[in-house]
Amino acid sequence: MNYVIEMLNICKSFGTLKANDDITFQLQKGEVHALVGENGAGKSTLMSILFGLYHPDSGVIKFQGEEVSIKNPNDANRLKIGMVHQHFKLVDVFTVTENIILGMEETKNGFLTKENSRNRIIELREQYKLFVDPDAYIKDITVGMQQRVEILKMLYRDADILIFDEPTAVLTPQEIDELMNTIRNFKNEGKSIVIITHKLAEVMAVADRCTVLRKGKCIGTVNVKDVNVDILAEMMVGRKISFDIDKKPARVSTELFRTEKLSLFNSEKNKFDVHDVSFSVRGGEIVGIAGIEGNGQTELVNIITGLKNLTSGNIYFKDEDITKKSIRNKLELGIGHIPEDRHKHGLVLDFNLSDNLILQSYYLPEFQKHGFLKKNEIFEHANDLIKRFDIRSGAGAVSRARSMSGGNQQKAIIAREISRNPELLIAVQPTRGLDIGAIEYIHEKILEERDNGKGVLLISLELDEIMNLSDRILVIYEGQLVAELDPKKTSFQEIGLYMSGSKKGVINHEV
Amino acid sequence: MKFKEMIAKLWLGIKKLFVPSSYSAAVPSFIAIGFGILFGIFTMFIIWMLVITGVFTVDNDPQFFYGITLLLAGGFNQGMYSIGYTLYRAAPLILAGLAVGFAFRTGLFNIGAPGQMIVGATIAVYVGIRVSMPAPWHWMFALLCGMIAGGLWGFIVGALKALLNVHEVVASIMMNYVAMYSSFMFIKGNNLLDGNTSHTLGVRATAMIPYGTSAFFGGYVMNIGIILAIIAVIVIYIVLNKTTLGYQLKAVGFNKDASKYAGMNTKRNIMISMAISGILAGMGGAILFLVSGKYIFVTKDMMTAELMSVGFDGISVALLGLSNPVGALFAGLFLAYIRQGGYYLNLANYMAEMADVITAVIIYFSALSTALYALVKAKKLKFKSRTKSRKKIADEDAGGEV
Amino acid sequence: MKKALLALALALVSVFTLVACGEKTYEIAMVTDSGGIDDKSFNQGTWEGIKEYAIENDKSYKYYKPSEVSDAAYLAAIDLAVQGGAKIVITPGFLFETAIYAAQTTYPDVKFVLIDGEPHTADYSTYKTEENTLNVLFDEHEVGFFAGYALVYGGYTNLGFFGGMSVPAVQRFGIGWVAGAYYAADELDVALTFTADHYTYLGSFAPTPEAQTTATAWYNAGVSVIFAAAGGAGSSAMLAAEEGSNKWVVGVDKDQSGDSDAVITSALKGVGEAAIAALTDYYDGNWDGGRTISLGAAEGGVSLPADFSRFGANAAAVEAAYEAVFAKVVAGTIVVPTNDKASLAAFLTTLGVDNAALVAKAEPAPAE
Ligand SMILES: Nc1ncnc2c1ncn2[C@@H]1O[C@H](COP(=O)(O)OP(=O)(O)OP(=O)(O)O)[C@@H](O)[C@H]1O
Ligand SMILES: [Mg+2]
Repeated sequence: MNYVIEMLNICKSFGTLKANDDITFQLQKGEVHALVGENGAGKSTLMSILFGLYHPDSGVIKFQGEEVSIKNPNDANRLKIGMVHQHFKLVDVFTVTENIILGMEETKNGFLTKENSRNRIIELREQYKLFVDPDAYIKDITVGMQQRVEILKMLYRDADILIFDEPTAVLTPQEIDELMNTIRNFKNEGKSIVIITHKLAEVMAVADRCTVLRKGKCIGTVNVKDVNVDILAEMMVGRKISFDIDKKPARVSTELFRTEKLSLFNSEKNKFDVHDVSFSVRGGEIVGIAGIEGNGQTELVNIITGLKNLTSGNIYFKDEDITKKSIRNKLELGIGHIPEDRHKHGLVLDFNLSDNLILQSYYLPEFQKHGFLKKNEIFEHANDLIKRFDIRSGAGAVSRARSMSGGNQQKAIIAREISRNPELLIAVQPTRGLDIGAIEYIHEKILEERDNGKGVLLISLELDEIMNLSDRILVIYEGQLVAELDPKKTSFQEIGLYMSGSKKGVINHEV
Repeated sequence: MKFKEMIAKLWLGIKKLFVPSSYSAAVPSFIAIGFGILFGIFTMFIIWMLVITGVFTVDNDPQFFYGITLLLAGGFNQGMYSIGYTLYRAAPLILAGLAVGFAFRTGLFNIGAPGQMIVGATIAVYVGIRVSMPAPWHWMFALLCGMIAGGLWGFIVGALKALLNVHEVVASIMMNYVAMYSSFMFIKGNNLLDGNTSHTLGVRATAMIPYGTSAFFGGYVMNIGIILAIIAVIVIYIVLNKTTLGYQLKAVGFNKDASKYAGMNTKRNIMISMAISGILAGMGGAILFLVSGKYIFVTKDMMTAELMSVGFDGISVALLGLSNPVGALFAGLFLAYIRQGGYYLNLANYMAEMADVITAVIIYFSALSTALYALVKAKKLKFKSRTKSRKKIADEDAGGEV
Repeated sequence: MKKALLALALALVSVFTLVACGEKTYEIAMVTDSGGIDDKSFNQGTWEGIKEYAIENDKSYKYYKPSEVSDAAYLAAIDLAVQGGAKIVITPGFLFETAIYAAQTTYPDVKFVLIDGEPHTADYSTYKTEENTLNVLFDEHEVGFFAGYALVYGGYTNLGFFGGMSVPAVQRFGIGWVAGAYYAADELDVALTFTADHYTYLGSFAPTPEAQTTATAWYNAGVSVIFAAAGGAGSSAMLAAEEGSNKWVVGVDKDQSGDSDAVITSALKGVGEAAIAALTDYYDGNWDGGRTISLGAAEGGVSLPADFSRFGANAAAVEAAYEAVFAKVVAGTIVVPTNDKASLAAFLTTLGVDNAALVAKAEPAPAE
């Protein structure tokens, strides 16, 4: 066989945790190779080893049949290995160009010259149809664009072996399609690609072969032609997964939450990010908000939760006007929030897991006495949630959040929010980056909340999730609600039309 | 590039310096210390050579080897006496470092420690001179007043940041100068000046930090300042690690967005944090001057040399101690130790400023710590693989012979 | 690594014992104050005197710089000097008064020369000078007198005074300056302008923009010469003078003509000479301690520099007049008022001058 990369018998432990246990992974030239497995199975770790971020405890890496040692990303670059990380490693306050050339800046007479690099980036952008503005600041562009920046970064370094760590978790369906095409293009050019993903449909769509990891071990490598989604799922989780959700009919009670004409004006862009949004959530129902990324979902959630000040409008919780209440007040009243950006809002990455699990409740008598933290209770609380939500990490409650796998970070946030037992749960992309087993579990949990009479506001870019979970669907387009639909009576196509603005509906504000 | 972005970039860099992501980061501190001392010795060697070869002529020739031993022996040179002196010098340094480090842990760069020390010292000295009280209460009261004054000074900076969005670095630099000149005015205005000199009167004996164990330390200097500093270290350690206050201050420091999301009052935290930082600095200033035979000079150069510089040393101490309370303790002790060693260089006809050269180099190196650490690690790996391949070649050779 | 640690430990242990028997000893020691031996002022003057004497007489000599400005640090440095073999320790400046008070009893076999001060306790309650200590003060009023006298003789009749701080030595300079100027004006029968507004204690020895602004304002108001008895703050006056035309500064302590072209002359204090005199007495077996000596014109302790060229056409005349008045002061024909305003007022009265406002400025009410 003609392998560009062979990783043979790789072992890597963090403390007592074996993140990679005797894994053999071989990448053929010109293939798309999917790497799948549960959260914390060791996928990112394995690829980080290939990229020189970690050093294996034992095992051999061969490049075109020759043993090599990859001590750092520079070595990887020399071998033309590039990687797009699960959590992007971009500098917010740098421009796209600056980020791409970081580490290989061209200088002239000792001064940085960006002109050549910028032209090169534009060339690559045209060639691969990866549209981004080379002069925009990272903090101003969407996640999808940030990913393109990461891809351009690899291409700029002439990478032939491209590693994508969960590239689709943060993308919209359209963006995913584009990415799949890009990947096919790469393949046709003879580049070799590794793609880590939790979405088995994607594996089926682009991959030639697929390697499955489970709890640090390699379960096997299969030809995608020879398998189907169910077989892959079973290989991953070790049991059969049902993709259908068992959803009882909703037992809707009274109104819990209501917004009236919420607006947020963006003075920089001179337009409304959120415009006259009115809706309500009742106890015992899940209201889904569907929409293409960037249509005001993030801003809407931010003004509801208080992270941003609104321009006008009112928010009511159990008929009480909470528009002006502090974030803490809102939390105390019983609002839970699974944030969209787990690294920005969800976690303090330098705190350990147990500290992250009390982020909103550290001051309650449960966890403190006379201002001193009750360490024992905090640990017990953490261990309880770790068990209930199957949060896997190297050192349990004392693992630093930063060291946890992406999916497990997400599970920690969900565990925290659900365990606070909120009356209204605002869940933004709750299953982003989770494996299929975990998604199944989280969906069950969310339904359980609803069945317990709680209200759920679900914001997701994934139509499947919206369709499967919601009792009512609202569609947002350019900051305005354009439709209210019944999931049982609508179709993907119809929602799609509303989402893209091709169709506009009238919403009955009085629910 | 926009000004805001520039500040943000700068901030990113500074943050990386002070709050390293991993605790094995202590290694670079030690490497830096090693480099600093080597550099100092190297400089001493060069000076020695220049004198020996007659390029320079000096009054008394430097004694290189003697100098090295003096330098390294630092605070041990004169046995218990110099140990005592080192501890005495360390106390304000530790507190200044603790102040800067604490603020940094909570995401703030308190470059205003010098000003907070100045007001702390001034108010403590005022109470020490003007108030009459029995012994143990007087110095405690003076110290407390100094702490409160420093805390207020820090609080002002925090309030400016929290309420008016003035960057704390800008605000605290200005507050340093405000502190210096208002301290001059305060001292003159309250007739605290010794009429024969340009410095304050001596504080009353009751207001001096007790000497406690001075007999043991064979001298008149050693006071319980170091013990107070250690208590402060312990308190700050506890606050940071065991209390809800520390929990939220750290949370805000590590991730402001997440703290806001979790309902913490980030503005209040900024003010509290700056106030605590100021209290620590003010305490350092008070301890520095509630001492027999130590006076605040109302001249700019002396104020700069005696008070401002200690405040700025706090930044070095925090940097070297990785913004960790216990780290500040050791870094402060180390700085005092090496300075004491520098002082003894007098004996070997080197300038005491050698110690400053060394500390400066150490600070530069620990600022470059991450890079340095990576370098050393890479070197080690290369070395390992080289020996490995050499061994392989040797094996092959042996194989060939068989 | 282990070896290195072991070596270090050994080195540390050996040093414990090393210090006591430091390799060389130095008989003459100077302890500097915060400025260091190149401060262009007291430290440097004293050090140059010590060097001159020691090299001529082949004695070992050395200076020690204390670790900070505090009595304890000064004492520690004196300890170090004594351990380093010092037989005589010279300390420049009144900041050493309290440290010498303690050291003179701790080390009865060591001689101390305290320049510009007298040993006392920190609270000034007790003054005591042991047999092994010699205090050297200067008659600043005399040299202030010479300067004022010379300037009026040089044709400058609108004067000002910058004092660093209102401390006795500086007050003496100022009172002498006023007295000398009026004395010359009386002799020459010219009108002298010296308003109370142009007499100030800056409150600092450091150069500041404020001091420079003040000086500029004075010069603009007609003042032609400012006597800057203000340490480093003098350079502020010099900067202001350089901007004007025919505006001058009188330097202090050392010959400051090298610092600025605007320095017309300087009020010299012979700190180096004082050190040499004390060392000579000591090594010649004539040590006469336990007292304070005042070095005035008669003892060669204070003077103006020999170079009068900056007086221009009047140089020769001024020099002659200076020498004449110097002789009168030495002879005691003229008694220059010291640092109390009463004697200044009396002195001026004898000249028929009444400038009460200025006199009041010269010795402000003491603190408290
Ligand atoms: N730096 C680290 N220190 C300690 N433990 C770590 C570190 N990095 C990863 N781990 C642990 O190793 C295990 C594997 O992590 P890895 O990130 O490879 O998982 P993953 O397969 O990528 O999961 P996910 O799908 O959730 O991203 C996890 O349990 C994680 O907590
Ligand atoms: Mg991962």
